[in-house]
This record gives sequence, C-alpha cells and structure tokens, in this order.
Amino acid sequence: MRFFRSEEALRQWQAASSNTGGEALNLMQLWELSKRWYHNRLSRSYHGRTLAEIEGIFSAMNFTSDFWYVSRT
Amino acid sequence: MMDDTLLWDVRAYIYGYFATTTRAPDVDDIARRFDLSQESASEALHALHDKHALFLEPNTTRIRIANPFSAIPTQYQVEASGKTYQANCAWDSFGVVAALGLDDAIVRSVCTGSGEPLRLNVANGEAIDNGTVAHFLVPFRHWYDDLVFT
Repeated sequence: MRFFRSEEALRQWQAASSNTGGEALNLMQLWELSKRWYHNRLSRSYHGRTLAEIEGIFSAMNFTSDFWYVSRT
Repeated sequence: MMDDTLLWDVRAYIYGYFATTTRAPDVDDIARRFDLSQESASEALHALHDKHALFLEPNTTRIRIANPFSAIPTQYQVEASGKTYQANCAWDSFGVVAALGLDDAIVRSVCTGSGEPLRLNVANGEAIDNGTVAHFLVPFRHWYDDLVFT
C-alpha cells in the first residue's frame, strides 16, 4: 500500500505505469481502518482473526466492492 | 511441537519490544527472556513465522516484519512519543499509531508518483486530511493464502 499526494497524482501514476485498478482511501478512512485492524495488536490475547471477523471490519468500513471480498475457499 | 501458550507469550514479547525500542528483538533476547535454549527460541520464531504472526528474513532467525512494524528502515516512518518507528507500507504507518494506542503522531513518507516528501498528521485522535490518498493495488483475497494474521 502506497501514498500519493493527491487523487490526481494517483491517476497520473496509474496512466503512466499501467497499474490500473485497486482501491484508494483518504487519510480518514485509512485511520479508521487502521484502528479497527491494529487496535489490539500488542495484546497477549491477539491470536489473529477469523475470515468472518475480517469481513466484519470491511463491512463496518462500508467496503463493498469485489476488491475487498474475502474468499472462504 | 512447541506449546502454544509459550508461542503467544513470545509473540506478545516481540510486539512489546518493538513498541518500547522501535526495533525487533533477536533470538538471544528471546532465549534470555523465556529461559530457553537458542534452539528453542529459534523454533519459536519459526513457528510464529509459519503462522504468519511475523515474518523472518529468509533462512535466518532475524525478524523482518511484525505487522505493522518493520525491523528495517522504510519510506514509512512514524514519529510518536519521542521515537521513530519503521512501518511496512502506507496502511501500516497508520497501523503503528493505532497499535500503540496513540492520539498524536507524525507519519513521514513520500508520494509514489512524484517522490515528493509527505508529512501526515494524527492529532487528538483524528487523521488530518490533506488530500493524500493510500492506494491498495492487489485485491485483498490475494494477499495471503492464510489471512488470519495479516
């Protein structure tokens, strides 16, 4: 995951590099995702998470595109 | 097979070490902390690597990644509490702040397109929007076969 100074900078990079697709988050979305994902990472009780828990995080973030699909197979 | 209770204790120790020192512990640190032989400490590290709880440098016992922390310098640096942490990527840079439970931090990175330095702020528990975006290129389901420890 990489930073771009603006959405326009991302578009220019995608056009120049043929790296189309993917998903872009603004900093507020990134911060919210980071809190949900990492808030308990230092805890002794953290043993990873289930696919259902991952889907729950993405759902809470309103990540509904195919990009965020978590396969259960 | 190593006891899972010990493995989780070792994992927690490693993360606490990163949080306190900004660096990864080495196999000697782990052996001393848990009164293990070097061989057993190495076994614990490899077991955690196999679980994707952390990632070792190939063919070594050196920790390379314990998400969101990087054991080596990167273009994703987090300044917080008077320390500078290394993160693995854009997401992990904010992840370091979240994992440490902090409300204030500065993330220093670069724009992938232009190379322009970026300074991003978390202040009073909120990310300050300055137009910067984080781009995820690969669909999530392809990141790992086992997503449990991503």
